[in-house]
Amino acid sequence: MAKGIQDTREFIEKLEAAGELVRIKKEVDWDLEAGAILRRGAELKAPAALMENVKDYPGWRLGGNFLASYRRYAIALGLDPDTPVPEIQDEFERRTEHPIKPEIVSEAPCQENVIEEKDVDLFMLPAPMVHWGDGGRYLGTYCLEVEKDPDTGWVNWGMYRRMIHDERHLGGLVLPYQDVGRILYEKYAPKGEGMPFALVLTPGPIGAIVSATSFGVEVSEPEMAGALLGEPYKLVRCKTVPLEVPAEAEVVIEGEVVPGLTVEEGPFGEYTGFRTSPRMPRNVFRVKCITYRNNAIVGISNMGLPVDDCDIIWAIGFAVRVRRALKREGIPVRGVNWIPEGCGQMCIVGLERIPYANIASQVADIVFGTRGPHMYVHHLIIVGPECDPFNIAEVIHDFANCCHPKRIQIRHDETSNPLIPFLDFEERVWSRGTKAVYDCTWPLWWDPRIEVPPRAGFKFIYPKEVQEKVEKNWKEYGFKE
Amino acid sequence: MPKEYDAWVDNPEAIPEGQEVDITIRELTPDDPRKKYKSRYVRAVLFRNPDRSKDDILWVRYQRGSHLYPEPFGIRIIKDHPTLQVKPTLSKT
Repeated sequence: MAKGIQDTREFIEKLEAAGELVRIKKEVDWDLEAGAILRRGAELKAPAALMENVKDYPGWRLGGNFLASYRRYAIALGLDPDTPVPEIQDEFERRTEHPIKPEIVSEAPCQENVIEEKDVDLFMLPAPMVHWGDGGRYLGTYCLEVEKDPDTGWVNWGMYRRMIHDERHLGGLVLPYQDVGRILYEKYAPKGEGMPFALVLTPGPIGAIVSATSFGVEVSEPEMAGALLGEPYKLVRCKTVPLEVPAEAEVVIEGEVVPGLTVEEGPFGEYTGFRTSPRMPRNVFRVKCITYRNNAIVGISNMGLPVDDCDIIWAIGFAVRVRRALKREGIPVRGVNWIPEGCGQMCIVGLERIPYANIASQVADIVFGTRGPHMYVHHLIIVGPECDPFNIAEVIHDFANCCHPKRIQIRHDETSNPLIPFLDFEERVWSRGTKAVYDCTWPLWWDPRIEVPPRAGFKFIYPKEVQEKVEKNWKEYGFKE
Repeated sequence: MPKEYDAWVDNPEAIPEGQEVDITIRELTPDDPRKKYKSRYVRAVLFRNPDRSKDDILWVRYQRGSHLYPEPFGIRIIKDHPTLQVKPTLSKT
């Protein structure tokens, strides 16, 4: 059985062997140049990049776009790079049905070097200025942040943006409906206590996937990592906080979220492809300890115009989560395409059949109500059995020709998030958005013999024997395959 | 050599000139290049039309960072606050 990859360095070798990574030996400036390389690379669909010569930071490396394509995601799971997207989803779903508890190890590469509190200086790390005009240098982009519920012991892994403020402090956005927000605002803030955190820079690819994927309330993310890996995920205890972190991490920043204190954070070019939210007071992360591997790699997820790591991770994770929820409610789902170019905001659900009228409404209730994806998706396209949800040309054709504008459902005051570009300022403050459902299926009350238009396509409008004859003689006609 | 800093404000036109303000600034020309973009919470006096040959200057950004106010301000730092800034004084957000 194929197994996933825990260590970034093993992943880099596999990516390089598959032609999916470039090693850059030329000196690269952490101040905008590194970010610009990755941004251009993402937009040109270039390989991932490992920068081995970073200006001002001898002995350190930068890297990024590690998961910015379906091929690299497949490699991370131990699959063939050319595995079709629906099969990647199937494999993801199959593995995550069998959680595997992590293994705690006593020694780990991520603790080869230890910087104690009195010597902590975040500027010893080659934190990039990712985009011109960002509020600061971001260490939290390609990362995995660990928090633990003090009452239940539930462990959250999340990929959140964290900006360097000064030598000992990071600033970061913590929203109340994020898993980290639930722990902070419901468990620690009411008591005025600091919340321990561990920010892992450059987790292995399975760790990165899990940290950016929503699995549901109180699902153990280390166990999901083991499930995707195919064996127990190795963790090590932190030096100064009561948390465990991936043993293979390149860098670990340990500390505490300080209650009642804020610093200016942002703006930041975000996953939507826009720099939406302004600079604002955000939570303070005070650093107690830094540990790191020799010759460590600081990973960068340069979010912006699609397609980057976030778009691909969500395309699999959100799609599987919603597909499971739909199937659980008896929806005859053919496929869910969380199209990466939508940056999380757009989902296409394909149905195998239309068993009853207005099934589109029920699909929308489930998609918009599934925790995790719910605060990102704003546009839901539903297509019928004659349209492949993974064939964008077919989807656009159905959207343009089968979706009557008067039947578009507009849902106001739905859960949203402050980074959505089309929301106005007040809507962003309260994370209150509007969502649309585009039902591209034919109404059931249309007579299929005289009202539903037949498709004028090769597979639909020619008798089977004519299709078979043409397919059989295709090369003989002079056409290439 | 004069130093350069930047900061975010809602409305550069409304910056009180010649008065002490508390503001978070970012280092753009630190002695150690690795400290570039470090934030400092300072009390400072801001003024227009600085002498670029001798005054420290402050570039001002609008809230989403992409637009710079075309002319920098002069900045005279009175002191560094020992604490982190809790609430920005030149922004409504």
